[in-house]
Amino acid sequence: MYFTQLAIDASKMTKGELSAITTFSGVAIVFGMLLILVIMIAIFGFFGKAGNGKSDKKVKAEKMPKVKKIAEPSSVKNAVNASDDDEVIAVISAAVAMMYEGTGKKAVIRSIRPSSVGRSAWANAGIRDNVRAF
Amino acid sequence: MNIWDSFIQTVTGILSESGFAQFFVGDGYKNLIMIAVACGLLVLAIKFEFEPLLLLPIAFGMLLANLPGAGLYHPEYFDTSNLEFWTADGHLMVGQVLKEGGLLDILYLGVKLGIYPPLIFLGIGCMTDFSPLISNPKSLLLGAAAQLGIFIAFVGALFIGFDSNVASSIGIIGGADGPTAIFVTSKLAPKYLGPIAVAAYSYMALIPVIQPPIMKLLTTEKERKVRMETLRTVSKTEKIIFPIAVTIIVSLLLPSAAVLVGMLMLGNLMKESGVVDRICKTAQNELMNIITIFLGITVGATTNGASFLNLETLGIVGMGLAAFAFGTAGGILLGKLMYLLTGGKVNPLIGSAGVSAVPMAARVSQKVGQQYDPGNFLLMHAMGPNVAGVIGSAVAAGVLINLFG
Repeated sequence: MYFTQLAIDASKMTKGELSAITTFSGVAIVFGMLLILVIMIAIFGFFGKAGNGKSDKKVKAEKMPKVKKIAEPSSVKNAVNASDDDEVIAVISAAVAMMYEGTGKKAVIRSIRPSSVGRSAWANAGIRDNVRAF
Repeated sequence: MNIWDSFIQTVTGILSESGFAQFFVGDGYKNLIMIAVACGLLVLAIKFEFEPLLLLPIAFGMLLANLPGAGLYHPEYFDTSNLEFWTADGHLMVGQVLKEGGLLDILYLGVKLGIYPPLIFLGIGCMTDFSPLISNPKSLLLGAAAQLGIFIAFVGALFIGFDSNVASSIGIIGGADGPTAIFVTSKLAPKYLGPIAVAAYSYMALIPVIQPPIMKLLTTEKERKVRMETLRTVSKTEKIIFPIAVTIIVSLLLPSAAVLVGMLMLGNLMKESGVVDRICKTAQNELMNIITIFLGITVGATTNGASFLNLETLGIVGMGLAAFAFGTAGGILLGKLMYLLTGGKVNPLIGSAGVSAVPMAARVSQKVGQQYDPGNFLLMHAMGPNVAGVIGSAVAAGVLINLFG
């Protein structure tokens, strides 16, 4: 087997030697391998930029939409647990930020309200099927 | 009178042969303790929803394996010194296991032959978006730094008395990747599969508890508040080339990592290509769920009381925690170095996500960052090192299998 040819004979080494060899070779190989991947991604990222033009343009963090502390309507508290509010608002804010990414526009979230509940049972089932967690 | 004696003898015989009586013979009490542990884990899974998808089948597997006399799983079949099931040159006689084994023995073949972990990786690949990594390739290095815990735990385990194969399997707990830990352990130290898998999955569930204190200890408030530049958009072509290129490069340089990385990247290519939606959905849903059931129940079955309840398990649990802690620290320290080198553009908190455990570790980075700046969104930045950690731990697994396999 290929592996057997490379394997260390641990019985002939002290614990110190074995530790040093394994740690140094392990860290070096992991870093080396991922460094090669960094270079590879950078190379095809360079060609990707050339091909995509504006799509690779970076936008500064300051251009992220401002998220103001919201006066939460009482109906929001009915929709989610009070302890989850901050997390839900953060997720919605992040989604809005992603939507405006690269446009240079700023978005401000002023309120979050539950949508109307007039959706049909079939539509609700379809949505549930498409957005369920893995 | 004779009828009465016969009746008493029959009842006594049945009771003495029953599983209840076995609890009080030899190491039988250990099975009773393990059943109590299994029930505790079931409570954690059902009531507190701690990783229920894995914990529930693992706990039930533990319960089944510790019922004396049930004969669902026979660890002795997988002991290499048992020549009834192993050839003299160390090959398992699969046919013999199929003939003699119980249900769990047969399902365990998937672990023993290294089938389940790569199939789980296939499903993970279908669910993973590598865009944050491709748009910020430097985050791969954070994924590498967070593997430091693997090697530090290896050294620790070696010095507390484990041999190099077991130490490697303990170290890989620090990769925070259950399938990788199971894959390495099934190759290098199958006897320790139970405690190592249980430790790996337990610590993964405890990441929101383990990581924040280390993150806060190693960073300043100023560093935690750093807002990072928005990631660039990644083209579809880049997303398609990435899994192909990674598979070729990693597999050529480190063939022992090919099976894990290859399956991960196959799943990802299925997702990104967009031409095989049907099989991609199957891999990430039905296939993944089936394998999760098989893997969970068989890993649980390896936690037989006699082999699980001992000081070695305590050593494994202790070193596993050290592996997680040092892995987290390694990622953060490299993050700090990047912070310095880039003039404060990298938030070191994203480094802790390099320990794999997708996406929980990235969510921890986001949550800790938002505690200091509610308008800061680190999640997508942390996903880069997070998915890099999956590749990094697969490479580290390849190194250990290469060295000690």
